[in-house]
Amino acid sequence: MSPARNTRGRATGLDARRVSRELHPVAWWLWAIGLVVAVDRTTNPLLLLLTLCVLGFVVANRRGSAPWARAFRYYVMLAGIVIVLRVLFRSVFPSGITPDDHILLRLPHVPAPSWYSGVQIGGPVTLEATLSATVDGLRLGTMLCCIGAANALANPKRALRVLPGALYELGMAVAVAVTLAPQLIESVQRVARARRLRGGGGRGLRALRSIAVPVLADALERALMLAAAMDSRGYGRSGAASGQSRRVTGGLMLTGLAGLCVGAYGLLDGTAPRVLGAPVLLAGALVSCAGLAIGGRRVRRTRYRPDPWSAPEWTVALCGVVCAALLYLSAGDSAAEVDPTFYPLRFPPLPLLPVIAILVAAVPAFAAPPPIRSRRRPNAPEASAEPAARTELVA
Amino acid sequence: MSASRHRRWGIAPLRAQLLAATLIGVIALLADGPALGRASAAPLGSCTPAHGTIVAVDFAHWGGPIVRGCGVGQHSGYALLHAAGFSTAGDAHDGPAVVCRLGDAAFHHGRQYPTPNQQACVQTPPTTGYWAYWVAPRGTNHWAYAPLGAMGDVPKPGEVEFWIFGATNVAGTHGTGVPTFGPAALRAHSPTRASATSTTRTSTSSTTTTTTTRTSTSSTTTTTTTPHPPATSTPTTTTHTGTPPLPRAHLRRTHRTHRTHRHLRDRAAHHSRHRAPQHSRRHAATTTHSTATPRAGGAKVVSARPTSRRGSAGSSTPLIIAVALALLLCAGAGRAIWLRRREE
Repeated sequence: MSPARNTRGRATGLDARRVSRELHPVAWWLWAIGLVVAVDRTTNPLLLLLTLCVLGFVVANRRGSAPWARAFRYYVMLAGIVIVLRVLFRSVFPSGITPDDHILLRLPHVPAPSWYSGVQIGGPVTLEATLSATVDGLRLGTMLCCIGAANALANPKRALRVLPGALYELGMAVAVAVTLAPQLIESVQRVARARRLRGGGGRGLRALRSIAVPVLADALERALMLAAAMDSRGYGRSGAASGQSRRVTGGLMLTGLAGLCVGAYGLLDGTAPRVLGAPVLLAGALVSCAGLAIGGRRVRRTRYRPDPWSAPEWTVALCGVVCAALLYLSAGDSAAEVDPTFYPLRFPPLPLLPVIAILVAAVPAFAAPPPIRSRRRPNAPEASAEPAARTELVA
Repeated sequence: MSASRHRRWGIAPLRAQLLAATLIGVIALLADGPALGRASAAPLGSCTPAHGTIVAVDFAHWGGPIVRGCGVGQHSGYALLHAAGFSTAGDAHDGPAVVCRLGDAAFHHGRQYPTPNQQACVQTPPTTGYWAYWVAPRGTNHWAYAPLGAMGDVPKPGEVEFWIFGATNVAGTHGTGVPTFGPAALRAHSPTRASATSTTRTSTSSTTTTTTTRTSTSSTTTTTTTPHPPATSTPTTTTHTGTPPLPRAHLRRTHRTHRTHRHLRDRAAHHSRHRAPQHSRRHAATTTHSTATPRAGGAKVVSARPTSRRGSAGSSTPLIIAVALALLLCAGAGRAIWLRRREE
């Protein structure tokens, strides 16, 4: 191994003098939500493509080495699946073939009776329809990638700290669940390694049994240890809450959530009375907040090493907000450029202001502090570090 | 640690996507030949009560007239619109089958309405503001909400199709998107009285409003208009004729509801057949160059003129700039990944 690789955590380039730290997770989420709002406003494939590249750029520059930091590529794959599905459905169920369309190929047409002429199965696949479907899929895929970027960049365990006090039990359960998958993988790798060291070969059901049983035992043991540790730290106590206050909290929360459901329905359904829309939604939100506030009073929490919110956090969050705002502003003026169509077929335009808005969202790649990176592979089990060290000695 | 143990980062699919996008752009460039010219519009005179289909678009929402055109032998309401000279635009989600914008050279030089500022035409337009599609088959005296979309509907001879922008309730019975006047005001008129002889059915309803229209075939480029029943034509919506309200049809309606609708429509037709039209008038033959402005429900009616299509393929420069920018960003991401791998 070269000596350069042994200098642990040495940052390069622009980040050489900056202190590595994790950015506040809320800042990353605000940035990502701003981008989602911006993407929602446009159907221009060039703008969507640029947004994807900006996401990739920021994630590549600012992700840490935790297991969740590798999530982004799976979201990109998911986006690809979304696009393929959208194109497939549009091809199998074509609608609206105009005489001017450019036909790529003709699928076998399944004739439908006249009373079912609204849906057509098979028939010509046109370039226009394929492009429209691709862009439609790309839009949804880009939104998914925005969420993926936030997941890769923000530490989910730290994000749970932002939850209101009343939800801390729920947050705790989520925190335990989030750490489960990496722990299981680590456990499987460790057991498999132990098996190999003992010379236990074999594949198939036998190998599965000899791995599954120790892994399950390991998981149980770990759960018991976690439970004991949490117990000793005072988790799970009901605090000073009386039965009545708990009932009041529960009642308020249920009423509030019911109000939120009814309000959302009223807002989305055009035929519902107006009163059922925004007013009920607002009332539901207020009642829910009251429930959370009352419920939160019985929980006293202290914070160990609170995440700071300083200039980089402001910058990252503002970049998201500015991106969304700029795109909304420009969409009014250059609506035809932000939402181009492929009927008739033509090259999509590239409006200046939205491009600037999307490039602003790339600023966090420099504005955020460099992430903490460990030299070791993050997900690797403790034990796997040993053979590496041993080979080094041998070499 | 061997290099192979380093994980590959998710930039690979991203690059592939970029490549695919470039490819699509190239295909688009190759596939888009010169824009096809549109066949010239059928002159309004070629529509008679028994031949051809009248299509009218109401631009009253933007202070415009009702623009009336004619088409013969089209296989869809969409083709009829285009044959009559209108231009349409669909929405990004549904494609051109959902008519989101309509335009005609006779109103504001063919500008399509609603404008992009008023309606983005990304999702399917809401019922609070959309082009409602009404049909009045030959021999009926009221509008029926079209049970199919513009591309599913098959225009029949003697029918009138009407597009009006506005809001309707889900049942399609109330709202600004419901026509306030009957189809008689828009129907084609036979050039001579002799054509009103076919059946009793036509003679009792549609041809009673017979007037004489110009017979010149080259008259589509003028805005001089057809002589017409006077403005006093009674507004006859479905409620006026005493038929049950017709359900609002969706683009993809199930066969059961479609049948119900058809049944209602037949019943409505039956109704009007037995009810003599209240405003049957006969006009003397007038000359082609009549200066009288025809009106329907208080609105001016003008003839459709062929709307030129925007045929330009646009410039490929934005595509190149965008791809260059994207490549730059990808290069930045690649550099970060390379640095990280060297570090590890």
